[in-house]
Amino acid sequence: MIRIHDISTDTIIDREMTDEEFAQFEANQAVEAARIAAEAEAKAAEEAAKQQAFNDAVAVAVAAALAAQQTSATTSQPVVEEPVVTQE
Amino acid sequence: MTIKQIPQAIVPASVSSMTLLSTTTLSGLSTTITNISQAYTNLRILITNPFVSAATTLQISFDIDDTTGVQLRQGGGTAAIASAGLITAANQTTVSTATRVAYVLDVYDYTSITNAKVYTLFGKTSASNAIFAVGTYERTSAVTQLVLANNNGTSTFSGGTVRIYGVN
Repeated sequence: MIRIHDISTDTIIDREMTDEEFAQFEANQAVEAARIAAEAEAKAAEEAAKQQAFNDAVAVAVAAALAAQQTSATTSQPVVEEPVVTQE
Repeated sequence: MTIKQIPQAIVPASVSSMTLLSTTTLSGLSTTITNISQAYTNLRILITNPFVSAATTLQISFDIDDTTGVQLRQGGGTAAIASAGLITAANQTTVSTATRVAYVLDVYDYTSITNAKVYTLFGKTSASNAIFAVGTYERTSAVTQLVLANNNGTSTFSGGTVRIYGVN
Protein backbone atom coordinates (compact mmCIF):
# COMPACT_ATOMS: atom_id res chain seq x y z
CA MET A 1 0.00 0.00 0.00
CA ILE A 2 1.23 3.47 -0.89
CA ARG A 3 -0.26 6.58 0.72
CA ILE A 4 -0.36 9.92 -1.07
CA HIS A 5 -1.68 12.97 0.73
CA ASP A 6 -2.35 16.02 -1.44
CA ILE A 7 -2.43 18.75 1.16
CA SER A 8 -3.66 21.43 -1.22
CA THR A 9 -7.00 19.63 -1.34
CA ASP A 10 -6.55 17.42 1.74
CA THR A 11 -7.15 14.36 -0.41
CA ILE A 12 -5.68 11.06 0.74
CA ILE A 13 -5.21 8.23 -1.71
CA ASP A 14 -4.21 4.76 -0.53
CA ARG A 15 -3.32 2.74 -3.57
CA GLU A 16 -1.88 -0.69 -4.24
CA MET A 17 1.67 -0.96 -5.50
CA THR A 18 2.21 -0.97 -9.23
CA ASP A 19 3.68 -4.11 -10.79
CA GLU A 20 7.07 -2.43 -10.88
CA GLU A 21 6.84 -1.32 -7.25
CA PHE A 22 5.66 -4.77 -6.19
CA ALA A 23 8.55 -6.43 -8.02
CA GLN A 24 10.94 -4.09 -6.22
CA PHE A 25 9.19 -4.83 -2.91
CA GLU A 26 9.64 -8.57 -3.44
CA ALA A 27 13.28 -8.07 -4.36
CA ASN A 28 13.75 -5.98 -1.22
CA GLN A 29 12.08 -8.69 0.84
CA ALA A 30 14.56 -11.25 -0.46
CA VAL A 31 17.48 -8.94 0.34
CA GLU A 32 16.08 -8.20 3.79
CA ALA A 33 15.50 -11.89 4.53
CA ALA A 34 19.08 -12.66 3.50
CA ARG A 35 20.36 -9.83 5.67
CA ILE A 36 18.39 -11.03 8.68
CA ALA A 37 19.56 -14.63 8.15
CA ALA A 38 23.18 -13.47 7.84
CA GLU A 39 22.80 -11.42 11.02
CA ALA A 40 21.33 -14.39 12.88
CA GLU A 41 24.14 -16.63 11.61
CA ALA A 42 26.79 -14.13 12.64
CA LYS A 43 25.19 -13.77 16.07
CA ALA A 44 25.03 -17.55 16.53
CA ALA A 45 28.69 -17.84 15.51
CA GLU A 46 29.59 -15.07 17.96
CA GLU A 47 27.69 -16.83 20.76
CA ALA A 48 29.37 -20.14 19.91
CA ALA A 49 32.78 -18.46 19.93
CA LYS A 50 32.02 -16.87 23.29
CA GLN A 51 30.91 -20.23 24.71
CA GLN A 52 34.04 -21.92 23.32
CA ALA A 53 36.26 -19.22 24.80
CA PHE A 54 34.54 -19.69 28.16
CA ASN A 55 34.94 -23.49 27.98
CA ASP A 56 38.63 -23.10 27.09
CA ALA A 57 39.18 -20.69 29.95
CA VAL A 58 37.48 -23.07 32.39
CA ALA A 59 39.56 -25.99 31.11
CA VAL A 60 42.79 -23.99 31.53
CA ALA A 61 41.78 -22.94 35.05
CA VAL A 62 40.89 -26.50 36.07
CA ALA A 63 44.15 -27.85 34.63
CA ALA A 64 46.11 -25.19 36.50
CA ALA A 65 44.32 -26.01 39.76
CA LEU A 66 44.96 -29.73 39.35
CA ALA A 67 48.62 -29.10 38.53
CA ALA A 68 48.95 -26.92 41.61
CA GLN A 69 47.39 -29.65 43.79
CA GLN A 70 49.77 -32.28 42.39
CA THR A 71 52.80 -30.08 42.96
CA SER A 72 51.70 -29.46 46.53
CA ALA A 73 51.21 -33.19 47.16
CA THR A 74 54.69 -34.21 45.88
CA THR A 75 56.76 -31.49 47.54
CA SER A 76 55.24 -31.36 51.00
CA GLN A 77 56.86 -33.59 53.70
CA PRO A 78 54.78 -35.80 55.97
CA VAL A 79 54.62 -34.40 59.49
CA VAL A 80 55.45 -36.83 62.27
CA GLU A 81 54.23 -35.75 65.61
CA GLU A 82 56.64 -36.53 68.46
CA PRO A 83 55.02 -37.80 71.64
CA VAL A 84 55.12 -35.23 74.36
CA VAL A 85 56.94 -36.53 77.44
CA THR A 86 56.39 -34.78 80.67
CA GLN A 87 58.43 -35.38 83.85
CA GLU A 88 56.74 -35.42 87.13
CA MET B 1 -2.63 70.93 32.30
CA THR B 2 -2.29 69.36 28.88
CA ILE B 3 -2.32 65.66 28.15
CA LYS B 4 0.62 64.68 26.09
CA GLN B 5 0.65 61.92 23.54
CA ILE B 6 -0.22 58.53 24.99
CA PRO B 7 2.60 56.06 24.32
CA GLN B 8 1.66 53.37 21.87
CA ALA B 9 2.19 49.73 22.57
CA ILE B 10 5.55 48.59 21.35
CA VAL B 11 5.01 46.43 18.30
CA PRO B 12 7.94 44.75 16.57
CA ALA B 13 8.34 45.50 12.88
CA SER B 14 7.74 41.88 12.04
CA VAL B 15 6.60 38.87 13.97
CA SER B 16 7.56 35.39 12.89
CA SER B 17 4.75 32.95 12.54
CA MET B 18 4.28 29.24 12.21
CA THR B 19 1.21 27.98 10.38
CA LEU B 20 0.06 24.37 10.41
CA LEU B 21 -0.27 23.33 6.77
CA SER B 22 -1.12 19.68 7.12
CA THR B 23 -1.43 16.67 9.37
CA THR B 24 -0.84 13.26 7.83
CA THR B 25 -0.99 9.78 9.33
CA LEU B 26 1.83 7.52 8.15
CA SER B 27 0.67 4.40 6.38
CA GLY B 28 1.90 1.74 4.02
CA LEU B 29 5.24 1.17 2.37
CA SER B 30 5.65 4.89 1.84
CA THR B 31 3.73 8.06 2.54
CA THR B 32 4.02 10.99 0.15
CA ILE B 33 2.82 14.46 1.02
CA THR B 34 2.33 16.53 -2.10
CA ASN B 35 1.56 20.11 -3.12
CA ILE B 36 3.20 21.82 -0.18
CA SER B 37 2.31 25.50 -0.18
CA GLN B 38 5.04 27.81 -1.53
CA ALA B 39 3.83 30.80 0.48
CA TYR B 40 6.32 30.57 3.35
CA THR B 41 10.03 31.08 3.94
CA ASN B 42 10.93 27.87 5.74
CA LEU B 43 9.30 24.58 6.56
CA ARG B 44 9.19 22.85 9.91
CA ILE B 45 8.17 19.21 9.83
CA LEU B 46 7.37 17.26 12.99
CA ILE B 47 7.28 13.49 12.82
CA THR B 48 5.97 11.78 15.92
CA ASN B 49 5.66 8.12 16.87
CA PRO B 50 6.30 6.58 13.46
CA PHE B 51 5.36 2.94 13.86
CA VAL B 52 7.22 0.61 11.51
CA SER B 53 6.74 -3.12 11.08
CA ALA B 54 10.46 -3.88 11.49
CA ALA B 55 13.49 -1.96 12.68
CA THR B 56 15.15 -0.07 9.87
CA THR B 57 16.39 3.36 8.81
CA LEU B 58 13.81 6.04 8.25
CA GLN B 59 14.38 7.86 5.01
CA ILE B 60 12.93 11.14 3.87
CA SER B 61 13.26 12.56 0.40
CA PHE B 62 11.98 15.51 -1.57
CA ASP B 63 12.11 13.68 -4.87
CA ILE B 64 10.93 10.20 -5.53
CA ASP B 65 13.16 9.86 -8.58
CA ASP B 66 16.47 11.13 -7.24
CA THR B 67 18.80 8.17 -6.87
CA THR B 68 21.89 9.81 -8.32
CA GLY B 69 23.34 10.70 -4.95
CA VAL B 70 24.32 14.19 -6.00
CA GLN B 71 21.26 16.20 -5.11
CA LEU B 72 21.36 15.84 -1.39
CA ARG B 73 24.25 15.67 1.03
CA GLN B 74 24.15 14.92 4.71
CA GLY B 75 26.74 15.01 7.44
CA GLY B 76 27.51 16.00 10.99
CA GLY B 77 30.89 17.62 10.30
CA THR B 78 32.94 18.69 7.32
CA ALA B 79 32.59 15.47 5.38
CA ALA B 80 29.09 15.60 4.04
CA ILE B 81 28.25 12.49 2.14
CA ALA B 82 26.03 12.05 -0.83
CA SER B 83 23.05 10.08 0.26
CA ALA B 84 21.17 9.28 -2.92
CA GLY B 85 18.62 11.97 -2.37
CA LEU B 86 17.67 10.75 1.05
CA ILE B 87 17.71 12.25 4.49
CA THR B 88 18.32 9.27 6.72
CA ALA B 89 17.81 8.52 10.38
CA ALA B 90 19.42 5.22 11.29
CA ASN B 91 18.34 2.87 14.04
CA GLN B 92 14.71 3.64 13.56
CA THR B 93 13.11 0.94 15.60
CA THR B 94 9.67 -0.51 15.80
CA VAL B 95 8.04 1.88 18.15
CA SER B 96 4.93 2.53 20.04
CA THR B 97 3.83 5.80 21.52
CA ALA B 98 5.52 4.71 24.73
CA THR B 99 8.93 4.88 22.99
CA ARG B 100 8.30 8.50 22.10
CA VAL B 101 10.28 8.56 18.88
CA ALA B 102 10.10 11.98 17.28
CA TYR B 103 11.94 14.10 14.75
CA VAL B 104 12.07 17.72 13.75
CA LEU B 105 13.08 18.48 10.17
CA ASP B 106 13.64 22.13 9.27
CA VAL B 107 14.07 23.07 5.62
CA TYR B 108 15.27 26.60 4.97
CA ASP B 109 14.49 28.69 1.88
CA TYR B 110 12.55 25.74 0.53
CA THR B 111 10.99 27.61 -2.36
CA SER B 112 14.30 28.71 -3.87
CA ILE B 113 15.02 27.56 -7.39
CA THR B 114 18.60 28.80 -7.27
CA ASN B 115 19.99 28.18 -3.80
CA ALA B 116 20.75 24.94 -2.05
CA LYS B 117 18.13 24.26 0.56
CA VAL B 118 19.77 23.70 3.94
CA TYR B 119 18.08 21.31 6.30
CA THR B 120 18.56 20.13 9.85
CA LEU B 121 17.13 16.96 11.27
CA PHE B 122 17.20 16.07 14.92
CA GLY B 123 15.30 13.74 17.16
CA LYS B 124 15.15 10.39 18.81
CA THR B 125 15.19 7.30 16.61
CA SER B 126 14.62 4.61 19.22
CA ALA B 127 14.61 4.08 22.96
CA SER B 128 18.38 4.49 23.06
CA ASN B 129 19.41 6.29 19.86
CA ALA B 130 19.28 9.86 18.68
CA ILE B 131 20.18 11.76 15.54
CA PHE B 132 21.42 15.18 14.63
CA ALA B 133 22.12 15.68 10.97
CA VAL B 134 22.56 18.62 8.65
CA GLY B 135 22.68 18.77 4.91
CA THR B 136 21.71 20.46 1.72
CA TYR B 137 19.22 19.67 -0.98
CA GLU B 138 20.89 20.93 -4.10
CA ARG B 139 18.38 20.46 -6.87
CA THR B 140 17.37 23.74 -8.50
CA SER B 141 13.71 23.28 -7.82
CA ALA B 142 11.56 24.16 -4.88
CA VAL B 143 10.57 21.60 -2.30
CA THR B 144 6.98 20.74 -3.07
CA GLN B 145 6.64 17.28 -1.63
CA LEU B 146 7.95 14.99 1.02
CA VAL B 147 8.33 11.21 0.80
CA LEU B 148 8.73 9.11 3.92
CA ALA B 149 9.78 5.48 3.63
CA ASN B 150 12.07 2.89 5.17
CA ASN B 151 15.37 2.04 3.61
CA ASN B 152 14.99 -1.73 3.66
CA GLY B 153 12.12 -1.29 1.22
CA THR B 154 9.93 -3.73 3.10
CA SER B 155 9.02 -2.20 6.46
CA THR B 156 5.63 -0.57 6.46
CA PHE B 157 4.16 2.25 8.50
CA SER B 158 1.11 1.56 10.56
CA GLY B 159 0.89 4.83 12.41
CA GLY B 160 2.66 8.02 13.28
CA THR B 161 1.93 11.62 12.50
CA VAL B 162 3.59 14.11 10.18
CA ARG B 163 2.76 17.76 10.72
CA ILE B 164 4.05 20.38 8.30
CA TYR B 165 4.28 23.99 9.34
CA GLY B 166 5.00 26.97 7.15
CA VAL B 167 7.34 29.40 8.86
CA ASN B 168 7.72 33.10 8.10
